[in-house]
Amino acid sequence: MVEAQIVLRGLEKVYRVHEREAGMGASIRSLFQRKYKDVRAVDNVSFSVDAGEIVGFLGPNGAGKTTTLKMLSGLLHPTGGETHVLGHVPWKRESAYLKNIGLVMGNRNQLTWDIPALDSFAVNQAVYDIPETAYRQTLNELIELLDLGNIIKKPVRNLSLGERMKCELAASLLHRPKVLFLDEPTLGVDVSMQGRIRQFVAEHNAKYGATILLTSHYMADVTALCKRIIVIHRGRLLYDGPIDTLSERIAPFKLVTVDVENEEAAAQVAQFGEVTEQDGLKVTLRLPRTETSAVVARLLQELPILDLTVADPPIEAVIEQVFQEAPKDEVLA
Amino acid sequence: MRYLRLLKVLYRTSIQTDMEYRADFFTRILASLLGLVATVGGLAITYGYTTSLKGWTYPQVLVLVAVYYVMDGLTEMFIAPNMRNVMTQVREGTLDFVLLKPVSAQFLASFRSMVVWRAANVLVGIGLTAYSVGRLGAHIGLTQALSFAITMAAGCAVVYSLWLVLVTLTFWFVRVDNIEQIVWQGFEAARYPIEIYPSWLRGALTYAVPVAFIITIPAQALSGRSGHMPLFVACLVGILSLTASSLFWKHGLKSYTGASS
Amino acid sequence: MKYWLNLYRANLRVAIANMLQYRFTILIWAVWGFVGPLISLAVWSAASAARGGTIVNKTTGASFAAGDFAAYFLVYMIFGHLMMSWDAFEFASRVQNGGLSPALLKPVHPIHRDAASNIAFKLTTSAMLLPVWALLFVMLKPHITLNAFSLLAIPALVLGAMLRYVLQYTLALAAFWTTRVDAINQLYNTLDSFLAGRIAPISLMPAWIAGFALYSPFRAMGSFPVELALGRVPAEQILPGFALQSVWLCVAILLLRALWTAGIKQYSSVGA
Repeated sequence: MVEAQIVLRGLEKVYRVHEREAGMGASIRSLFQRKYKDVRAVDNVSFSVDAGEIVGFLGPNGAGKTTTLKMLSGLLHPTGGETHVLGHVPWKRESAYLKNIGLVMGNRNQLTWDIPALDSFAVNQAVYDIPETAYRQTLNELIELLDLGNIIKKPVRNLSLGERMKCELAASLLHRPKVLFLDEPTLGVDVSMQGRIRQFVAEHNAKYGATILLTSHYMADVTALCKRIIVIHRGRLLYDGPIDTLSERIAPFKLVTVDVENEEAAAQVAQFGEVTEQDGLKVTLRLPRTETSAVVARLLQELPILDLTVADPPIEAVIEQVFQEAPKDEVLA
Repeated sequence: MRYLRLLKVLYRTSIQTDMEYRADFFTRILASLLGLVATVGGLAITYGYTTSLKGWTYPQVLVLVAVYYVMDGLTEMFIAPNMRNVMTQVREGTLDFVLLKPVSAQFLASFRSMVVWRAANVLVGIGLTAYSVGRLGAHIGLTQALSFAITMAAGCAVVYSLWLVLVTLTFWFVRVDNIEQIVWQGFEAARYPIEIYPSWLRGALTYAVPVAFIITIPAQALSGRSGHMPLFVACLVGILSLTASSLFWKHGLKSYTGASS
Repeated sequence: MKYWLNLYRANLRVAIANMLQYRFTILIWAVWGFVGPLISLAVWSAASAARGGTIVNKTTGASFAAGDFAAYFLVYMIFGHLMMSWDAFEFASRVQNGGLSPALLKPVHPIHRDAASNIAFKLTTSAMLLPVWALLFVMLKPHITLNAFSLLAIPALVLGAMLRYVLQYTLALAAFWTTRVDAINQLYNTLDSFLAGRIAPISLMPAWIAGFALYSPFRAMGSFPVELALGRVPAEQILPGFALQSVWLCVAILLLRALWTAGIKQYSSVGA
């Protein structure tokens, strides 16, 4: 059996952080005695990914997604465990390894600010030693797929955030990496551009078979692209499996928010389900998925309702919930 | 070699960008000349009262100032902007992109761009060198010109190493910009013969922040003053400083990526 | 009037709090001011040593021994610090990256906030630098030559500081019309080096430069207070000196107002 392209075993990253409270007294105290705390950014994470897969990393902010990606791309040394990507040890940063991976970080630019993206691309060509014909071909494809025609000649600082992201993506793909790490690529980008970027990633993967690891805290990014999801929370792997099962397992309920006409009705809403939030005449209920439509129908019938919305619970709340419900060491699989 | 090709691409991009501001070049030269007038004029006034400052004659001091201008110009053209950029990148987390590339991180970070218009300082410096050498009345033979070139190269190597050390410090102390300023103030001081400073400062400017080495040695090589460091030692210092600073950089990088050494 | 007092008090409080936050950075920045005078002192000390201890200007009769140079440049360093300003350098970037716009939205002229910041800087850094200055006094052994008029240096210092601030702010406005502020600033700097007695006492300069210096604003905001403090201004030149400072201050304020109005028009026409 061919070993998977990306393998992690017990990967761990622990930071020693100096703890200090605010205030003058604490500052002076810290000069003499420092309190340290171990932060387990990534805690015993293991999984493997085959060539051509698109895997989504889900988890709230600070869960350890970016740290994991940084270790896989060689930017960080782990404090424990091991990992191999494309048969290399990432943090050795071998040239042969680096030529085959790409990393895109949502809120950070690699493109030089004052010059057109096209010039930055030319630099990448030299850096990655891409032969002219291959470069031309890839570039033209990327221009077409990402609709870059008129933006690559403008200085990057004049581009909108969405346009910049497209150029960043292109820059990372010029050398046709076999493995692509995408860290929050749609952060801060408007909705329509998010969709376009997702579409591009899917097409690229279909065409070139590049393995893609995508982190996000937008559920939509992940549902659109990934058949397989890995959930990380507080550095630990909570779930690794198909996306459909995840929705059922982890988010088996919906949030229904109603705006009622009077106080009396507001009090009555509590009878229909678990109240999670109340703000005057606005009440939010948590309902099991299966019951949602039935309860909504009853609500509309029996109470004077001005407005009603049904939403998925935010992923952070969901994962918090799951983490509280499951014993610490259990992994949902 | 691949790195040469990369350098060509990087500099070509810089030139193209700077070309947009082509008209400014003449104002830059003007500004540079004005700065020179202040320094040279000041010295001229002083030399109106004496013929020597701690053994340095007026033309000899002019050579010193000229070397300073050329060195400063070269540094600000090729090295300093990139180094300051690296400090910012470390602070903002964008150094990661440099580390991801399959080329030496040190090379890419150090030579990312060239600030073309700083050539104004270099040109003004070269002009002053020619003038002052002419005033010296000395005949610059091939050996002298060669030793000048070599000592300049060694000086540049030391400047680069100094910058690299400063930048490496940002891996541990994020706000190093202030220390950077102190170092370059020392550089300013070396515009004048270091013999005019009290001995403790002279020592600091020679060994701690070797600006005396960077500027005085080439100036002495050119103006033929007695007591200049043998060429061989100058080269040795240049090479040693490059090696030491590169090692320090690698060490800093290990710390940045969390490698336990 | 009360409005202005309140405004400055509020601005000062904010500015000082800000300064204390970045005190290390600011201190380093303040030390910049040391380098120039100390280098000049080293140069002139070496010169006087070469001439048997004293430099004499045969035309004016002014004479400086090593101790006199030390006194001159040390006092220049301190007074220079109390008169310094940096808006000319910062203004250009504020105009270019739109940082000026928020200030323009306020009902007061931005100069007041900047002036308060300037004053706060001088207050906090002077407090921090006093021990350093004291140390330099001990190390450099200046020959302090006070006379009956030395105290007049204080009002001269205040006038000089105000003049320098307004004039360099006016200079900064060039940024409204051009990005090439480099050359303009450098011209200002060069003129200042000579005419303000920064690189050499004016009485030691060639007659033609000294002539210019006497009527230029640079001396008024440079070495005039220093010379007064060290008793190097002949009695009959004191009052004219003050008059010159006042006249230049008025001119500078008028110039500032005229250029500001024109500049703002330019700024808003291009798009803030």
